[in-house]
Amino acid sequence: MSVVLGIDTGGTFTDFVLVDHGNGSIATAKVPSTPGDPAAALAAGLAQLDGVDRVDRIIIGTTVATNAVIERRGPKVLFVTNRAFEDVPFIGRLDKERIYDLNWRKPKPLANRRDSIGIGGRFDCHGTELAPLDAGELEALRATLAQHSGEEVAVAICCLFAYLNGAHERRAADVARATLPEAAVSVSHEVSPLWREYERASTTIADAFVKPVVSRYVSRVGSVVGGNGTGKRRWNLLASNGGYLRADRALERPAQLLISGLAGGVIGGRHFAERAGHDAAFILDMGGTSADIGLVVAGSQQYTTEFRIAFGIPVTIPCVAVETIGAGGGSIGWVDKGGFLHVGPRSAGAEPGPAAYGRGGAEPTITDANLVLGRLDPAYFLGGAMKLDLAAAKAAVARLGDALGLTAEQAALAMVQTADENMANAIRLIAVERGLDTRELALIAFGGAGPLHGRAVAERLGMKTVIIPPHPGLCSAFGAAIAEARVDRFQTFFIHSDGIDFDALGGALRRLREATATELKASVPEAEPEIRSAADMRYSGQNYEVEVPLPPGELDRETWPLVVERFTEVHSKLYGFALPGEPVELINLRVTAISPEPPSSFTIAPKPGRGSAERRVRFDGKEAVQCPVFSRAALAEKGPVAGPAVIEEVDSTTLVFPGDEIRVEPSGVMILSLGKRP
Amino acid sequence: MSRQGHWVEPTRTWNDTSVVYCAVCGRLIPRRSWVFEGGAGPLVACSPDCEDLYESYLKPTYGVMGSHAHHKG
Amino acid sequence: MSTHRLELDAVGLHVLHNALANIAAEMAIVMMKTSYSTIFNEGLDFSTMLLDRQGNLIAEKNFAPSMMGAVNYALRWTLEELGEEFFRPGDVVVHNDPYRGNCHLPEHMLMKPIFVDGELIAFAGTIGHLAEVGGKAPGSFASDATDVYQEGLRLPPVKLIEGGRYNEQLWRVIMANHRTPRNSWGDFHAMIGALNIGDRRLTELVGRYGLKTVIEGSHQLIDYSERRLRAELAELPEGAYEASMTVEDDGVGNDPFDVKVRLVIKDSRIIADFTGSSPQVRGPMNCTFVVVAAALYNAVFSVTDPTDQIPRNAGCYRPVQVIAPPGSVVNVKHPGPSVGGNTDLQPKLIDLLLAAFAKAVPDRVAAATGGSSSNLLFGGVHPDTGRYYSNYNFDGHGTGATATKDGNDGEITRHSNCRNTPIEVFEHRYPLLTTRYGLAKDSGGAGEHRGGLATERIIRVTAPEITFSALFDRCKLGAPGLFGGHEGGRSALMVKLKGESTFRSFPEVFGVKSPTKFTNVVLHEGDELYYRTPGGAGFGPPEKRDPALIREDLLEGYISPEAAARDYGFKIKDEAAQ
Repeated sequence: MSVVLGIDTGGTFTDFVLVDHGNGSIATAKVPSTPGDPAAALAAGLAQLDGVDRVDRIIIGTTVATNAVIERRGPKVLFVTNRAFEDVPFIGRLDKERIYDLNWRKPKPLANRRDSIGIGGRFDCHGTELAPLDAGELEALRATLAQHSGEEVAVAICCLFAYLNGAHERRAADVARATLPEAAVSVSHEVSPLWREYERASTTIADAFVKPVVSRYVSRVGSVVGGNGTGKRRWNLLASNGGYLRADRALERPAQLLISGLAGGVIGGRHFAERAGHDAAFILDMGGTSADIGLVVAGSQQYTTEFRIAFGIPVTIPCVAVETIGAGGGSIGWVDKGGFLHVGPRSAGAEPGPAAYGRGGAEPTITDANLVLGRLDPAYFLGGAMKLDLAAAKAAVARLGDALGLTAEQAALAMVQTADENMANAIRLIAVERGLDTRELALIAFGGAGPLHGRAVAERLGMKTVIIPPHPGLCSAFGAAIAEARVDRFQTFFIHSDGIDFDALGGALRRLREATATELKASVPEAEPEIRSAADMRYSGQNYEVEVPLPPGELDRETWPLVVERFTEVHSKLYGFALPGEPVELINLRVTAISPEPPSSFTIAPKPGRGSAERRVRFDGKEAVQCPVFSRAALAEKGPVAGPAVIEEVDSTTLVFPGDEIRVEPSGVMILSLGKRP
Repeated sequence: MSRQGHWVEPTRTWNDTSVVYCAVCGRLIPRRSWVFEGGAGPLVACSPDCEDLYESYLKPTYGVMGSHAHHKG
Repeated sequence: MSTHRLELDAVGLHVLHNALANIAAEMAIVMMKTSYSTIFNEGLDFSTMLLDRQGNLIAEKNFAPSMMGAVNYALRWTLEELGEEFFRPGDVVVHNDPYRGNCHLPEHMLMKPIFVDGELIAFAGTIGHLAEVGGKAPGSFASDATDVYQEGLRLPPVKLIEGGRYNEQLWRVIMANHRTPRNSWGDFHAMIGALNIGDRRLTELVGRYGLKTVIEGSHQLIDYSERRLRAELAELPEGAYEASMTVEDDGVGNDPFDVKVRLVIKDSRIIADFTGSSPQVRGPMNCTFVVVAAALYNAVFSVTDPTDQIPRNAGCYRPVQVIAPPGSVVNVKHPGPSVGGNTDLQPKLIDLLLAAFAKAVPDRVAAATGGSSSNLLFGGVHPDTGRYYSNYNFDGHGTGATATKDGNDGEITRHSNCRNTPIEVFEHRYPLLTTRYGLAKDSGGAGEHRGGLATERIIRVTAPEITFSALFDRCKLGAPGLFGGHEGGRSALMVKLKGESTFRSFPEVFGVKSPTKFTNVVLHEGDELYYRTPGGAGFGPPEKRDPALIREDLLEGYISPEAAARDYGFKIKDEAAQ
């Protein structure tokens, strides 16, 4: 049985969870992050952790690629595309981020217009070559690229309809590799073989842009955690799809890492929802600067193909569906010109942090508000490792209260409730988008601040259960530790039911399955990949697709009616109507290869906390209530407790409202039942 | 500002598709109208506010408006 | 009975506003996910909203500022005309009548009364551009229409759903008059789905906080927004500011016409008086009253609250007054046509208003944008499927420069926030091959700050035939610059028949009157169509432009060396010598 180490590199802390599947034990560590050199934090954590020598697999979730894009740290990207279409990345989709702002300016792509290079050749919408890419064209490309030799450059190649036929892109890539051997080269039909040329170009450019940064990261981290990934101790990166990839393989398509930092929380959330017996849950990972919202339906994390790192930088890669909103412990409360209270999206971050950190932050944050309300104990933040300054928090919140005509306590409550409303509103939008009724889902709340707010968010959504995983501050690292090797490949293959070329369709699916399995085996050679296929389908004329699971085996004339029937069922379930007999379109094929892990049976005992106590906590506009305070370990022994109560553990605090009940399950998860004891 | 006008209920029936416009601001008069003396005959307006608008802005700017033609610039 | 207490103080009101705005956002998601037309789901040419019992806007999800005039008036006028008793539980009312408060015929507003315990408490509303509503041209964009009857099927407020049941008689009429009835069916259902979610969510909100709190709170929010907008208006220098603009033609004749505005800022109110604008034109370049109102709201918000800090509801409209003479180009009288007024005069009215504002607050405005939606419509039978299709396509233009920034390249018009259709989606749907899509060099008006670049495109017909209509503008008169900035590049629309070697104008090849506005021209396999949208205008004199920016423009290919020399007196040779 394997010993796996999951690591999550956050903005403030780097978390470690070691799972020994042999003896069912776990070990954890948390060290401050070192943004300048993420490997330093890794080395520090490894030094603290027991049993590192027994680890045979490391999986790291990282924001290195994301940050490179946001901070625009990367090489000059040479963009190669069809001649007469060089401006596609610069035109974009025409829409504005703010409709009335005359001074809003379109964000620039990660490449300059002067570095956009046109080449000949053209395919049509059936993948048929309309114009060849001849030798003269390739020579001209070589000459243009050669002007950049000696510079730090990367090359991104994206041609029209390359998702159907990548021949021209491949030939251009060969020229690029031969001409600029040092340059990273990204090719759209490999990075993201989906239609919509602007989004695919943006993704390909981002892929090329982050390659050198990721490459440096891999070599630096590799030197700390053990070789280049090929040695006995394999080390891997968590990809945006929630699966892990051997680090050196991940380098081939680093766009896959663009939301690596968010995937661990979703995988961890899904795991603990399952432990709690829930197969449908919203995931609320509320940390220091933001709240990340994920979703589990039918026991599995949900996917999307489009993610926007910032307005104007879409990436289309298979990734777990996560929405981020500016609601975290460090989110700042402020009053607008009209006297309305807002919380976030600006955050005090880790430096200077909330006013209570005493590092010079003077603006009131959610953490300060929770202190003022008695919901957090200034003497027991991070298990007492960090003393908070209640007076500073109160002063900051009181200043906000002055602007609102409220007392410090009232202002603190207003801040917390505003943040809770913001999170609930964001979840409502995801629910309606996915055709879900929030009342039928549980909420799984973690991150340092999630358990403190989860109950209030759940109540607003009519949810009855909040699940708090063990070590709520480490759930993303847990997710990394239990991730499976997984490769998702999506490909646009437009089919109209009026005229299907079954040979072409069946062949495309077969090739996609092979490529997906091959990619997985490159990461995990001994894997026996489990292959799942699906199709994105819609009625002809619609523009959004629904995912329809495909039967195993060939997709041909015999199985097609079954696929259409399944589509009708799924459409009906999602939107409440179907139009049997109407023409349908198949837009994308999706194939997933997973190397299944044995069921995880590790046990997680709460860390012993301090003894029980009492304190006064303010839940609403009424007087503060005297509340018992238990450690999670004590609650586990004691059995169910009725609210009001506060449950403390080293990395998080759970707030139980009057009328609620809370208990720790034998599986280690804590369950809060809303309004169970009226 | 004291207003002189009064509401007039329409006599049109549902199958009359004609459209009536406010003599002052130009908007549609969906049903009843506010009729007031503009200085050169009655003006048909959408609301008492438009009597105010006429007295405070249009009349001082362009002079008295004829009762049938809309004000001219 | 309410389950929760909400104090209507500053905190509680904001919580209520966020909840109401979130409901409008949920409605928008339903529309996006289930609609049929690309103009809804890719183009996002719609808005969703909640309105109070009197028809006042409470909260919105606004993708289309051009619709905000209709949002402010259409339901109120319907209530005035037909009375509150017209609306019964379970009804859905449709309305696209340009003479009763709608923008132009394609825009359909659907309204659903929301009842709680038998009492009418509010309305859910949605307004969107239906891709095909009949009339003389496929895509319902008859750019040479001379009356509304040529523009499509006109619906005064009538019930699509009555007491929860289909009003089948009406549906039959609609479906018989639209060219792609299945799309209309799907789009109407997407809109109805959005109304239903709005109804359900508002009812839930009332259950949570109580009816009195929600109603009283929404009225307080309207008052709050009015106070805030008035406070912004109070910061503008009082006075009367005039501007005028000439528009090149109306699609039927070849004569230019004028729009004029006198903007009066006084006592934290704004009056936009369009007296003196040309009489309504024969072609479809006329605006309805509500479109002019939308242009005014757009300009006012751009100048006073560009980052949407003030909750958008009826309160934002109260201090803002339009005077638009009936029978003029800014207030079309029945039965004048108006389809292009919304898309091509409206953006120019916004520019006109900003030009008037420029005399009061020069640092808060922008020079004129391209100001045309560059509407291209086409339809026919797809050779691959044998099915009839129809499409309404638009493209990005250059936006005007501001006191501190160059304009944006290839952006949608100011009155909308639609997205383009990707080439790869376009070619799957329609038998057309795109052979060029890019920015048009030198199309940004020169200036201390340069206007944004226009886009240009060439498409080739790959079916036996396709019927085209177009409504473009600013082909003869470019977007006017501000404070010495130059005009933006002019638009063009040309055709190259199969076997010919040059592009020629449509009047030359097909004998149509206007170079940019025509209906039902048939092109055949191998024919090519070239178009260029208008560019944005410059702000400030070109000689004040920072040479470093000129150099950058040359490097990035935004301007040619010839234009650098002509417009800026900038010589590359001098540079090389240095």
